[in-house]
Amino acid sequence: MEPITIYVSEVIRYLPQKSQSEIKKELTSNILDMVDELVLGGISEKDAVQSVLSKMGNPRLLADEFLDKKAYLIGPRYYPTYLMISKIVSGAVALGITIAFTAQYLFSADASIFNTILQWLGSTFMGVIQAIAWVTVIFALVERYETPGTVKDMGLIDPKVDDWSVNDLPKSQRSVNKSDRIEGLVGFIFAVILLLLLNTHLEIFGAYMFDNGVLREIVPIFNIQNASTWLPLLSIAIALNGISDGLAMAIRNQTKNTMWIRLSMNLVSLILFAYVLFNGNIFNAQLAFQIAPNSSELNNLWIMVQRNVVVVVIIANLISMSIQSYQIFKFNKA
Amino acid sequence: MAENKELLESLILELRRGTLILTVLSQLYTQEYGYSLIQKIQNKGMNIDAGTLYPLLRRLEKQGLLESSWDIYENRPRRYYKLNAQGEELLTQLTLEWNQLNQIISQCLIREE
Repeated sequence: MEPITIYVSEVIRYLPQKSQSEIKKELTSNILDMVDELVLGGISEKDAVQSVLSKMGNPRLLADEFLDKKAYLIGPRYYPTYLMISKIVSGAVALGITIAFTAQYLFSADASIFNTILQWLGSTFMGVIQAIAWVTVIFALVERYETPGTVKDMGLIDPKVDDWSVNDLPKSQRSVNKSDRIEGLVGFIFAVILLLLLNTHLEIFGAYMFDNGVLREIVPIFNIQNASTWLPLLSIAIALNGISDGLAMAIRNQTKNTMWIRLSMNLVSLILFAYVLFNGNIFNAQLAFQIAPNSSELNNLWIMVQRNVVVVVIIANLISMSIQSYQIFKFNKA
Repeated sequence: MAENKELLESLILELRRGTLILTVLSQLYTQEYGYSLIQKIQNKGMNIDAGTLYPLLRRLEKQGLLESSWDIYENRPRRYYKLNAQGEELLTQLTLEWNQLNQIISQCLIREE
């Protein structure tokens, strides 16, 4: 009975939530009928189950049969994920733009609230439209080219689509690790907002200097003059981390391949982070001097902070990669 | 030769695929569940994959040609399918079309000297 349960759960995991329980019940009943017939013919139950499941074929392909044909841009298999990612990305973009405009308004002496609101509305509208357009294009491409042998290399699809046998079934029903998904969601939103702010309002990352409650200047933390040399690489590193978190959030059942892909992305991201942080000269070396020209203590502190940021980022990445490696190890053992 | 055999098999498969819906609908004047329908069709000499039939039944129901109901009083719950009025009407038209097609193709297949 267990292989049947696993097989059916492998089929329905590709189907929309609302039809899962019906198809589960019906498919199980049909498979049991076929098994009974073979057992009545004198075959052992174990062999009968093997034979029936082999005849039913790859659960993924069977799930495809249950889905309507692909007369759509984004099909039912991806639609819920597409909707979820679109909402999250639009929300994160809107939030990022709002933060940027709020900061701009609060710390700008001559900003008119009316103009700021108008600009904020326009930017949010355009930003959200662009975000949705990009997500749609990516999902449409995945849907269009997601046939055996293409997207499977990305690890989103079982590589054994064509040469499937009962032995390819997992040993037990896959469980959903909710905490991974929530962690992924938080990381993904953080990455989107950070990317947006770094690339559009780099100047808001800084020390805000006030004179009698009025903003005098923002001393930038980053080396703005040199941004074109380090910002693209840093953005790629953050984007890779964000995509890795996005995968953790979007894929209900992580496979070994998705885990490897996430680990590789994080590794590339770590290398880029390390390269940019060590060689990129990304911080404003004059920050301490611009804040307090005569304080050597502040200058020493700022030098220490810059060094420690490098170490903290690298250690945090290494910890995250170690956890992922352990998960792959656990998955292999299961 | 082996290539020819493969090609023939794939062409036969394609030919049969086109008649699958007609075959399935024609066997659903009385209610059947998935496996009983497979047996019924096989007993008439046509092989049909379970992996093809089960999703097809759901699709035909979604298209409004079949009605289904669960029987939970047998030793295991089974979903029974049956033609509804719209399905019967469509089957009549399809059968007419099939008969005409059959005549035309039979004519076409007569080798003219």
